[in-house]
Amino acid sequence: MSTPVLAAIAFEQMGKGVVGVVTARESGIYASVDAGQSWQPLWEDGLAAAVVRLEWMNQPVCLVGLSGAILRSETDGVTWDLCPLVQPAPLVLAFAVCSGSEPVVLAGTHEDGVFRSTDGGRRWESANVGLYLRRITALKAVDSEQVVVAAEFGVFRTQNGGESWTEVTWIVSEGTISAVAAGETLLVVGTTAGRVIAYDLDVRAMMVQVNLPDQGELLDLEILESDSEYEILAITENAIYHVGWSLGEDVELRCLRVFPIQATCGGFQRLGGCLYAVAGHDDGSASVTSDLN
Amino acid sequence: MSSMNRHRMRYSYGIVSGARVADDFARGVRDLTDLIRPVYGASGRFVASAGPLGASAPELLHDGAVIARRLTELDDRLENAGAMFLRSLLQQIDGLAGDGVATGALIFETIYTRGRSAIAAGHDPVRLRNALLRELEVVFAELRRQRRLPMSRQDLRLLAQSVGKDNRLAAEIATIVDVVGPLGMIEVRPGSAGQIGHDYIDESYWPTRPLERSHLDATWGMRSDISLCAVFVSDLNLETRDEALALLKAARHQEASSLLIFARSCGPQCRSVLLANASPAFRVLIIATPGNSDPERWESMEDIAMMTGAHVYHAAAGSSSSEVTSGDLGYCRRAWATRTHVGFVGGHGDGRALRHRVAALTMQFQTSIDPPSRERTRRRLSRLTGRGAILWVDGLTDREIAFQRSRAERTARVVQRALTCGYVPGGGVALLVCANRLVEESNGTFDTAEDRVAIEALRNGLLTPVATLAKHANLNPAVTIAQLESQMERGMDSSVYRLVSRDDAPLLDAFETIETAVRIAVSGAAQALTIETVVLGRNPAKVTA
Repeated sequence: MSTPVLAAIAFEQMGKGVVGVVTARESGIYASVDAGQSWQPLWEDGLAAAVVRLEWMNQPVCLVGLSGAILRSETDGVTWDLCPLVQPAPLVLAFAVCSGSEPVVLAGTHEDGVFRSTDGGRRWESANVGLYLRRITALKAVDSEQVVVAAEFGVFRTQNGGESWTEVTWIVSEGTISAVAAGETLLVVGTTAGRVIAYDLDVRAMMVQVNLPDQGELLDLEILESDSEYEILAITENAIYHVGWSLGEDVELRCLRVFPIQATCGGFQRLGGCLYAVAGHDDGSASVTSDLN
Repeated sequence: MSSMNRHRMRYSYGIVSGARVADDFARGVRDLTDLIRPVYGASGRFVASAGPLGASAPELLHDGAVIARRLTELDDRLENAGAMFLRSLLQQIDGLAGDGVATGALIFETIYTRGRSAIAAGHDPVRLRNALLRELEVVFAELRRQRRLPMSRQDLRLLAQSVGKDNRLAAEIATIVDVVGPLGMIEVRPGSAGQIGHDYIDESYWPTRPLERSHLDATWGMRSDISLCAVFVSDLNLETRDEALALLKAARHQEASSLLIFARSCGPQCRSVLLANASPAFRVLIIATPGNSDPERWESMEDIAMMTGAHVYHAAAGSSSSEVTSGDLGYCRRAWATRTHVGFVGGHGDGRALRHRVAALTMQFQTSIDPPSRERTRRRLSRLTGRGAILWVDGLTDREIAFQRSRAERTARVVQRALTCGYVPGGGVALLVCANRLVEESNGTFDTAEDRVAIEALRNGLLTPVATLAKHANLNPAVTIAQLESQMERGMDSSVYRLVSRDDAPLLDAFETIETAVRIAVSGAAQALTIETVVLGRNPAKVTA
């Protein structure tokens, strides 16, 4: 593989191995089924920014989001089917799986909001009832029914697997939201200006606000489970941070890693019970952390 | 000279006072109530209304509000005054709650009749009115205690069944309301016979018409779809070639694949230039600015501009489209037009400004108490947020479709309101509980004789709905009420008229409906009881006849 600028990177557990998908800005999409040891071209042009794995009818299915379509594989990434969305083609940025008895998959796009599939990713329908800001920047599943979506200037939630969306009206509209994460009681948003804001979902109020020192765009956020305190991981284009606080105490900010080369894409991935941060860089290289749990 | 005397001299008013007011006015109230009474309850009957000329087949009515609307005049002027007094209250109930008209009529008639009897026996009408209004607070407190929120989809279905009296319709409406919420717009349209269903609308669309129909593709049911559109928003009368050329130039400069024009009208010169430059690779849609009046047009222009990022060209401001630049045009990813509607999705407006507009309109919706204003705000919000649904109703005849449509609209309205206002289980039983609370609160002691009369009249008024349901089911009302009172944890399933467990109550009533019906009926009856004299309009000969 040459060394193009990476636009997106994602990994998912498939069968016995790991499927990785990277997108280069100029030379298309590559997939790896051997944990990144070797890469095969998957799609010649277009961008892919998301990959997800789900169980459908007791069979593993892998989905890769492209521009205007979604690639679908039931063969551990060996063969792929193309499932179209709409025209003009929206870029699929993120997936979320509502893992109910029949999984519902949501695909967030940069231009056309969210698409929804109830048949394991074969057919996709627009699912934007109430989601009036359609430029999706991040999409995260909270539990089997709840998904939270960031759409530049607002955050929306669904509690019925994407049938309808409700705006989180009380969040502060400050900066462009580029990342989001939610737990049972916590909603965290990250902005393009490197600001992390955490809200209490019960009280409907802001808990903490942190300006990350590098002021780089937030690429992804992850809430860590903790009984006594709140812990968040944040990945920006320059570094990975740990933000922690307890009620009534100061916020503790730690830098876990500084990227030597600026990241163009990246996010947190949970694989086999471990939590990794992956990033694609300006020079075409990719970096993966050890388990962050 | 008083103004009344001046009017008497000019218009020959008739004035009636005393016992005759009590008798004839009450008779009018009773006539209207008797007309509405049969439709009360889930298995209520129909009322047939013959047209004024008697030429057309009778209209079958199942809705108390429509029945009240159809009764425009009684022969006797004084009876008519009574009927029209009640009618205006019922219209108020319908306007505010969208349902509960029959409940209100039953309560009003009972309280008014009992109150008149007490006044005839020597009680003071003003003290009686004050006592009724005071005791109303006890009823509201009890109703609020019974109120339940939030509503599950099953609760919504039960409520829709209670209001609409149709299982299939109830299931559809519950599903839709659960998804679109209290702010979504539900549009009811006739579907094919035997079909009932729904589609969600996550686009913004307006009823309007294309100014040039040749755009519409007959192979797609007279519909046209365009994408990557430049959007021009105005209420201008486009006339000249220069205006058309300026629009085309601006759209080309924006590198759009199509042009969507909103205008008041488009003259032949302008139209011919636009059409001559349209092709499969660059399509043009010319659409009449949505709205039936200037304020409506301004609202729709503002909203379209907000969503697409366009600059609005107001005719009133003397704007001309020959000055338009690419920066004035908005942009959307897809748009469509049919003979009756235009819609678009993916507007490139300022998301932050849109968010503020939605927040402001939501606040306006929540605080507005004027039903038409609320509805207009709901429509705007629904368009801005892409939150709506089309409910398709069926029917074998036009008459049946019209009936289904009006029933579906009413049911959807009530169920949507109940999402925020809540529900009371059991309907008539909720009022029965309130009636018993009145008696408990008074504890058998009364400050004045009027207090006793007020509590008795109010109690009887609140029991009338349950008694009516019992009568409809060929049950003895007194026995039924006694049974219910002895087993207060049980409710009445008025669809089959049998006693069922309260927890399994298959029918619910919207809190707002019951609260509004009780408030307006009781306060209206209290007011009516103080009427001593009625001034009738022209034709006094008929009054004295």
